Amino acid sequence: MKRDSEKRLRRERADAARDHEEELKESFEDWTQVRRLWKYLRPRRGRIAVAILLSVVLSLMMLAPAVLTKHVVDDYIAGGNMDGVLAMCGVVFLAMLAILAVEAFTSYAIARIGQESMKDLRMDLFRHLCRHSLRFYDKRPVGWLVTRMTSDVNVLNELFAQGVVGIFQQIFMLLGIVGVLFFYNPVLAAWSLVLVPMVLVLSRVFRNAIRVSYRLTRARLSRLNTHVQENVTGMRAVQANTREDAQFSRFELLNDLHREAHFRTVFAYSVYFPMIELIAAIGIGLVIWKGGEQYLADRMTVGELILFVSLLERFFQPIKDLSEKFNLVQSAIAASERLFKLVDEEPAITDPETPAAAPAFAHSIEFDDVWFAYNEEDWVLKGVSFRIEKGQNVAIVGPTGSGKTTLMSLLCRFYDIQKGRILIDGVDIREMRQADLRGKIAIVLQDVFLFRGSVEENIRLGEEGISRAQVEAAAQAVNAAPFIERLPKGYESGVMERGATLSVGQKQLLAFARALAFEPEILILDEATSNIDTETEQLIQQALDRLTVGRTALVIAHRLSTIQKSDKILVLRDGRLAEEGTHQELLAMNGLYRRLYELQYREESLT
Amino acid sequence: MKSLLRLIPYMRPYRWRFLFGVLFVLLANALGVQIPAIAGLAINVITGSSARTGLVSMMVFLVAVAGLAGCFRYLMRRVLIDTSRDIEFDFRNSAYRHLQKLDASYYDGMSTGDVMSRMTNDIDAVRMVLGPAVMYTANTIFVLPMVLGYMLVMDWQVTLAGLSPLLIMPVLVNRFGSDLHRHARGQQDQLAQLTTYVQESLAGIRVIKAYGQEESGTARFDGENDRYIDQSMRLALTQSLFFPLIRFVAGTGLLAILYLGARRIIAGNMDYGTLVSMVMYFGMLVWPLVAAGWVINLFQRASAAMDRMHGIFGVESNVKDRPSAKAFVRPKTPDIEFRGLTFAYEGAAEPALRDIDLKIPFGGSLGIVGRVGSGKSTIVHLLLRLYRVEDGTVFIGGTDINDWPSAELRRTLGIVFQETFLFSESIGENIRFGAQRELTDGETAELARMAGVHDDIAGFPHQYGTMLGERGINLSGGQKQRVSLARTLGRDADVLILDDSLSAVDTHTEEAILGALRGVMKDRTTLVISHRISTVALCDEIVVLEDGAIAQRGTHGELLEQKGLYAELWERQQLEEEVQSVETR
Ligand SMILES: Nc1ncnc2c1ncn2[C@@H]1O[C@H](COP(=O)(O)OP(=O)(O)OP(=O)(O)O)[C@@H](O)[C@H]1O
Ligand SMILES: Nc1ncnc2c1ncn2[C@@H]1O[C@H](COP(=O)(O)OP(=O)(O)OP(=O)(O)O)[C@@H](O)[C@H]1O
Ligand SMILES: [Mg+2]
Ligand SMILES: [Mg+2]
Repeated sequence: MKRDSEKRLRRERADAARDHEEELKESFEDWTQVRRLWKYLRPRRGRIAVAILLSVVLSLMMLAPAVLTKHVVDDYIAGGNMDGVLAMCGVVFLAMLAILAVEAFTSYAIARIGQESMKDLRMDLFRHLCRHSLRFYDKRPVGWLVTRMTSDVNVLNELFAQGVVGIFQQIFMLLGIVGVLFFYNPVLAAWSLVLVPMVLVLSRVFRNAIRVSYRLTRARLSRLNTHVQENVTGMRAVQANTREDAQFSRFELLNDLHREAHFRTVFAYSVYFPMIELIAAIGIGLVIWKGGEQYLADRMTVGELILFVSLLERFFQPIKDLSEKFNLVQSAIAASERLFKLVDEEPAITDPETPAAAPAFAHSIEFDDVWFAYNEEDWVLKGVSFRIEKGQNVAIVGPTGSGKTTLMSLLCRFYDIQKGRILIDGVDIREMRQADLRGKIAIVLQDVFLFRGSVEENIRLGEEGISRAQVEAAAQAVNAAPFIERLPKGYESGVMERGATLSVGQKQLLAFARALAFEPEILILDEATSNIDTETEQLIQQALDRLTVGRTALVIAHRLSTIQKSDKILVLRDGRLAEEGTHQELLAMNGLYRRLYELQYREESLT
Repeated sequence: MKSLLRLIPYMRPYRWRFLFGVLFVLLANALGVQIPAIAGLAINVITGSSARTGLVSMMVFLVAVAGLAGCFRYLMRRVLIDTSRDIEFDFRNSAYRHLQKLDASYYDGMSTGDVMSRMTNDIDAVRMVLGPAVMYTANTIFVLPMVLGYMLVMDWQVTLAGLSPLLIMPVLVNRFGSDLHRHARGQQDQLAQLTTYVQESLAGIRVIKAYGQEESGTARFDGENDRYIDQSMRLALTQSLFFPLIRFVAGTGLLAILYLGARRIIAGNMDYGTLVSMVMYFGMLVWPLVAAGWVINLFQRASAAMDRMHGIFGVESNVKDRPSAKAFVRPKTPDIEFRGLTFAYEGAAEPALRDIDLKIPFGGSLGIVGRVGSGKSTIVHLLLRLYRVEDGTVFIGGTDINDWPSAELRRTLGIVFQETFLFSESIGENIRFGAQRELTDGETAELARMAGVHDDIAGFPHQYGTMLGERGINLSGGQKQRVSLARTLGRDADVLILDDSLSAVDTHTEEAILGALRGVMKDRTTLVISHRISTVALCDEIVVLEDGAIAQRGTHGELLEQKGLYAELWERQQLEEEVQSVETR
């Protein structure tokens, strides 16, 4: 146990180190990723142009007070013209009012643009995730995906909200300042720009430092989230196994790694910001020194000197801001790389270009020498062939782990097979649209999943076409109605995450009712009654006999008693079809089925 | 805002660091405020109001002061922001610790996405207030009096005139502060909602795909997104009025100084250098003021986040250990007893259990059967104290379970829950997960063998090292159940509870497992729940639950005689078999 914890901690550390290395060697030719974001801004490009225009105007207007001050000093104070001063102050006041209005408007507009674009991105991601096959989900923890959809998208939102427009604003502010400086005194302006290379070098060093740590924080945040998600959902297992301390030390490590990544960022900032301020001070010193000489040589006015001092102070603000913006861009690149990696991963299963027509299910389902493995060559199904006619009630039995659930997943095309064919009415399911295929089928999964929402919503899901009466009929058929009606609000009663407040059997009944409510042509029951008592099960059985007349049903069950009436029984063993036939035929065969059956029968009559 | 006071205990261990950090802020500012003075002096030197000496050395001095101020700024950032990350670390740890202590009634109602959102977004908002906000607040607090002092000394009338527009600040803060709080809260709530939706959709992707609900799921997601935009834009509206307004107010002050300064200069009462200094000083005031607006924003966001964190910290576990539990000695031979136990879940219309009287002697076994929802699992949950029960109703080893320390209680009980939960670790680690001592590989395999899953595992390419996906996604239903059984057997607890834990296992395997278990069950108290009568038939006593009450009790034989529900169930399970076996003859 201790050994495991240590091993686990070591593994976490190794993972973290690997993260770090990966971030270091990531190519930084990553503007392509950011360019792809343009797709989301494009529909709003008119508004963005206006916003940028306004912020450019704004940045220039912000220079106005300083410039006007210069004129106040040189033209009016020097001339003792108080009215002129007042008039100028009036102009400045108006300018400020205008700035207020424009600033408020622009920042709201920008926020709106950002939010809308992010929504589009989130929707795109969500749609894309929906298209991925289960192979994708088998390998990706939900917590990790959730971090992508929320945290990463939020980083991009910040880029849009502050970055895109902000960058233009800062750049124009810089250009404006430089322009004004050169306009009034090119020599002094040239002197003040001596410092620019210094700033550029410094900013470059800073950006390189921050680049890695930004990516690192994101990577470690998703690890943290994944851990929280898993442990919160499995808290009961943690508690029942008194594993709180061990799980906590793991969390603490992840938390610590996350903190450490942030420390790097803090360090970079702590060095960079004061350095910029120091350079600004040097600039002011330089201007006063050189400007002083010029003033003494009568080549400069006081107003200009004041203008230079105040503008130089401002000059470094946009540079500082730009570096921050650059960080935003950096983290946005890191985030968008992760996001687009998700998008770029083509779903393993896609609809064909020219899908086969989708008429109603007419005669047969056929598995033709189907080979399938979840991982490479580790075959789970090894050449399974069988044929099911429309209207048949087929049972699939076999020891646990023999591949029954897998078989059904393949029929729903959750995974693609490696060899062979699966045909419905003679058409390969890979030639159909997935929606058409799954529209024919309703499956009660072995692992029941309920959503938050009401009982009714859980039965009907999002299907508008299913009426309340159909919902109730389905609940009635699986004998779920009695317990639903006893819930505080009947069909409107709330269902918690994964149905936390229902008994396991009740959850299974709801999942069962869901399948019936969809009135499928093909009904698949994967251990749909494993947690249900015999009495209820028999009631369901009777209802099913009525409901499934003319319908094709595939039933997986361990309790053989439930399947004896099947038209056909398929016995699966080790991924191969061991036997096939009716109950009587199989018993006569004296094979696996007979052994399973006799065992159960003997056991039950013995006790 | 009061909710932020809850942070004080987390800040206390770092009080020295805060002190130093604030000291650095003070020093940095004390030096920083010299710069305009020096610049003003220099301009006076140039324009001739003062003696024209040492311009260059003055500038060198200016840079030196700025350099020193920069050093302190570096230290201030390092100390204060790092500290905020440290507190974030502690705070997140303690939130996690708290989550671990909460009982099942919390987890029944929570949503994972919401908890995740709190653990990241909200904690981050809180962190912002501990680091940047503290830093800027300290900055503002020091800069204001220093700068004001300088300015007042230079010219108090002009200064006061410049400050007068700032009087409106409290009004602004008051007007916008509560809006910021409310909208921040709304936005954070909606973000959590969004996270929850994503989390749940991805967790349930199999169902969504199987039922072709991708479209309708996307449509709902669209709605959630729209609501999020709504909330965010409300916040954005407030913010985009608040910040420009502050800048505007500050600008008016500057204008006043400029105007009055100009008058003074014209009147000959002031020199250019002083005006420059005053303008620069006022500039130094503006930034803290804008920062103050920003800080207020941060505080409001953080207090909204703290309110949300209170949704975790504020939940008290119903099953906390009593003080008396410390002196507890674990009984050697724990038996189990229920005395007149009636229990209702929170918010449920009817009790889930009524008047349960049961006794399982140490080494004995009890079987429970009953319809779906009759309360079988509830009995198990209560034994484990996942929910709170009345005093005097449930006893283990003669001690009321409310007097047991939870850790001891859980160490005594080995439960296989009806729903399995495996972790995304290797199979071996999952089996050893609950063990109370270190298990060797041999012992791990032995456990797996007993649970009838060794052969399956041996067939995997990486065997016990096979990494499981989330919730053990890459195992079959029956494999999951058996790994989970092996995990419980590894606990080697005195009480063994199986809650319908072989439901996904075929009869052949079940028979083998039960056979192996019988040996283990001999010196343990056992509770077996099943829908298959064959599973419980050999128990010392069997009870039939109906609607939460005990309808029948006795041994298998006795119950068959009683001609009640049990006999009926038995017959149903028998009948088909017999009909079929007759048919086949
Ligand atoms: N998503 C997956 N990734 C990798 N391997 C898997 C996955 N799902 C199942 N397997 C493996 O494939 C084999 C067949 O599993 P399957 O779920 O089809 O069995 P089953 O017949 O349904 O068993 P049970 O009766 O226990 O439900 C098992 O060995 C299992 O470990
Ligand atoms: N956390 C909960 N909150 C509210 N009600 C609950 C909760 N858990 C169970 N119930 C209700 O209490 C009753 C008993 O549930 P319990 O899980 O004990 O049934 P069970 O006998 O184990 O059924 P099953 O055979 O389906 O597992 C059911 O009606 C169920 O809906
Ligand atoms: Mg299965
Ligand atoms: Mg139960």
